[in-house]
Amino acid sequence: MTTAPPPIAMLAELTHRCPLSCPYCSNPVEMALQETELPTETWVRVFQEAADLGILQLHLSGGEPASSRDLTDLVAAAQKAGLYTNLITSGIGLSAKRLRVLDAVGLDHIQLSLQGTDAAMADKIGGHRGGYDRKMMVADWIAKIGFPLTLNAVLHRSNLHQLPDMLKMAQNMGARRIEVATVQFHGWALKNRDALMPTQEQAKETTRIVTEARTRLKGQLVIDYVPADYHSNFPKRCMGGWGSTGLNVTPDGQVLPCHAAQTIPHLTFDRVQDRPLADI
Amino acid sequence: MESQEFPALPRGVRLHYDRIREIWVLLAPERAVTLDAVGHAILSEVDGKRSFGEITQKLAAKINAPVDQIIQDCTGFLGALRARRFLDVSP
Ligand code: SF4
Repeated sequence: MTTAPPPIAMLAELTHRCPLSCPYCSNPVEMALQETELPTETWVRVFQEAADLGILQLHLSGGEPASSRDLTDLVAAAQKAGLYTNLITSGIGLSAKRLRVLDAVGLDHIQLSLQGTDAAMADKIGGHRGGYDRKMMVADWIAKIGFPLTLNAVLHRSNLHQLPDMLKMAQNMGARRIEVATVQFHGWALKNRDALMPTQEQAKETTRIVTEARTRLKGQLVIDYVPADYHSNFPKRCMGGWGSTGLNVTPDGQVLPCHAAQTIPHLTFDRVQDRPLADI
Repeated sequence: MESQEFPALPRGVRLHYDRIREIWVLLAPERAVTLDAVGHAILSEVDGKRSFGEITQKLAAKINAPVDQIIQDCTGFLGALRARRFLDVSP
């Protein structure tokens, strides 16, 4: 950490628990158990240490961060540390009241995942009946409060055709940005590869739709696009290089340079319980 | 941008002094933009209450530069932020 420039963002995986069960989930196949999740005080200390190290942005993620009971305390702690705080959520577990509390403690931004543009598709992928309808309610509350919103759509073989509707939906929800990410093959996705892999035709069509929409929606909706990835057997170099812009802290306190690193054999990781973040 | 339009930073976009790197940055959803002295000077004038015309006049007087040059710089810089949805502009 002495020679590398300090990272600007940290992803805090508060829990691996999630009411959904998407087939491409980036949760490690061996999930951290609830009993091993970090206590609130440890996260609070880590957020302060991260800010002192030069981290500017904190992404609260999971699993489903809303499954974590201390979410509002953690957002408050992140704000106190001066971190720009982003909640990465499926929306499940958020109520209108909880969102108002998050607003009051200073949450900066919400990234809402999108599995599909209708209940049949979204709930089939998420494996959670009623999840889609709930998500639409959550989107409505988010808009009423006025949180800046990014939609995060993960595309794969069975929902790629819904991309045009996803773009419309993003606009209707008042999102400023949409991330259109073709599924990346690590974690669960590698195990479900055949069902998820888009066809070459689909991949081409997706790129065409994105290119057209970027011109048409310029200044209204920003579209960040991760194209299909056919030949990668190795974990992606996340965010432009190991640890240079991103750090991950997992529910049981391991510090990883990026998401896929845990699956590389022969690497062990320091834990934030044992050492201050600056030493790692 | 027209001189009678009002630029403003929307919710979720804010100026922040990075005490570790000792620079000003613009924090936005999932992005951080480092600002040079010019970028910081421009954004320091953007408060949603002053028009683009007032802002450029003030900057020109402040740094003693031709207003046309300032307008050109501001248009490029603020236009780029606007395209990323980091800046709102209202009539
Ligand atoms: S919503 Fe996210 S954390 Fe939950 S199962 Fe889907 S991909 Fe995994």
